[in-house]
Amino acid sequence: MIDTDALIRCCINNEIKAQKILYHQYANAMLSVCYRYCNSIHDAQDVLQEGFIKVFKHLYQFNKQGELGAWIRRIMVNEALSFIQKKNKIHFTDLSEQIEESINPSVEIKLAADELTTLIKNLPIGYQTILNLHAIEGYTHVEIAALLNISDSTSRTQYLRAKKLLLLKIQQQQMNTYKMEKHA
Amino acid sequence: MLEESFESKIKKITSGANHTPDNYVWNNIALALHPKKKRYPFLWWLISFFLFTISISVFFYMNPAGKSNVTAFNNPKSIVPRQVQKINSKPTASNIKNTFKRIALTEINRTEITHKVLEIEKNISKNSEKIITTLYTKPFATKKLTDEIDKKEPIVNLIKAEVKTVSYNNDTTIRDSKITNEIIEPSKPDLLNDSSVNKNDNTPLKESTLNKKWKHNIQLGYMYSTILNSNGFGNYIQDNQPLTLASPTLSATNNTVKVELLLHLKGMFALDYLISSTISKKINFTTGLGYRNLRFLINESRYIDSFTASGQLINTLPISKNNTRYKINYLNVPTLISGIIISKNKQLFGWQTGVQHLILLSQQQQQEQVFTTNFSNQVAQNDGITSKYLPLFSGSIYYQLQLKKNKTITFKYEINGSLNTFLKNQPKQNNIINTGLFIGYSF
Repeated sequence: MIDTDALIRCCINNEIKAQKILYHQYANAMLSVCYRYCNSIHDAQDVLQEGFIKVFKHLYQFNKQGELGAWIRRIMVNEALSFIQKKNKIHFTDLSEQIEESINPSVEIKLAADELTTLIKNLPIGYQTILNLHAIEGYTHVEIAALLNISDSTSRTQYLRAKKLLLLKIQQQQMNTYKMEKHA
Repeated sequence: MLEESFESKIKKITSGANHTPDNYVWNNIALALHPKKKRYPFLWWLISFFLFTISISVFFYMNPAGKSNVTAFNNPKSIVPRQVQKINSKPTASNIKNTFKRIALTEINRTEITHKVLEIEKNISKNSEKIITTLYTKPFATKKLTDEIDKKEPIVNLIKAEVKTVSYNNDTTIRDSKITNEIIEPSKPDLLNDSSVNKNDNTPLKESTLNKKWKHNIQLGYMYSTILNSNGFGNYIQDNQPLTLASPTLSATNNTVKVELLLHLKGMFALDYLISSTISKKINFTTGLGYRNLRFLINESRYIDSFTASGQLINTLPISKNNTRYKINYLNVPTLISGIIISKNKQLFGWQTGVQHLILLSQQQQQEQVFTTNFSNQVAQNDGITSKYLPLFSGSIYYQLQLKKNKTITFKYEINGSLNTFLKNQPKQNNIINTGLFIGYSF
């Protein structure tokens, strides 16, 4: 088991072997994080690349009190956000009236990771981003508001609507799956 | 509870997603963090230097100045300096003549040649060296050329050479007097003892002989010949008939042949052309701008039985160094009769005869004289001279004139003499009178 501190030290000393180890240690997880914010895996890899370059360049700023993975994840999220903002500005839509009546909050989610990820990706970009940040990454609405330069109430509203829409989509997806299985 | 459940479910499910980045991601990261350093930087520098050197060499090899004629003509400067350099190294008439021949051989069109000649002249000027050119051939004496030159400034104006010394007859130096008016008498070339001059030879002096003696003083030259038959003037000259040659106007009377050259020159450069083509038009000779010393050479060679000169004969040099402004250089030729008149009012000014002296004459009426000269007036009276085998026109007259700016002058060249004896003694023989008129200038 490689000592994380020693690994960090070596990475700060710009030793390529240590950097490679660190990269491979977190690459898969971070790519999944990036992929949740990006439209394609290629964009996600670009974000991952730029994110890791920043990680290695600013690794000396890591205070070792927190977890390294969380620190890297934060960098990746920030990088992904700046990436999607650079590519297409995040628009916050209002679809609450369309989904209000049909939502079933107690729906049981029986989807695979890829299916759920696909459903999340099919949400509008604003919903998708805030859902990722709040539900998955655990950011508070205040943090999200600061990150996206919006008010925290907007973040909350968007999150609720995103959640409802996602549940609706999950419900529809599961219904379709059930029907197909029944026919089969 | 539902919300937490939802979030945890979502988080749990999505955390199961697994993606593996491609290898290029790490490669790019590694490249960004560890850019490849150039190995052997000195070697790369050395290779670059050699490549640069080779490319420069190839460039100059492919485009040397004057390498190609086309290039040279397109850019006359690229070739002219070479020629000028060659001329300067040995400024002999033959060299210059060859140079012009070479130019003529490689000519593409006359305009370009003209341009090139002008370029040469300019370079001559720049180099401040005495350059003598002799144009015997016709390439430059065409109307096209003359017209072309006429459009431009006369060469005399273009040439601003400051000649320090002029080599004269290989062993003498004539210092140009254009500025100082200093007169330095050259040593007298001894044609008498010159093996190249055969007194009993009826053949005219060859150009080469003339050039040999005058090669450093000839810039433009012209020579023509006419044949004298038993009637005196053969195909061209009839007694009592105006003598008309291709160029100057000649007239002959019973016992006197009068050769009159009216040279109307506009610029020295077009002499050849003007003589041969436009002399009859009597164009005034405008010597152009800023006259310097004009060296005038009349060189004729012929032995005849007898010659009687009409007019005043001079046995002594008429020129006094003290009060003459213009140098008359003379040659010491055996029995020489030459005549020259330089006058606007057609007065005869000079004759010379005798064994040792050649002449020229001065102006008696200074007001009428075109040249603002201060010629001495010492003219010796003489009844003439009759002698056997006198060279009718043998030897040379060489003098320097300084012309005023923008003056129109007329050169009148008269040769008066009785040809009786000549005709009697050689009734059947075709005699050749070579009248060479060389006008040279140097600055």
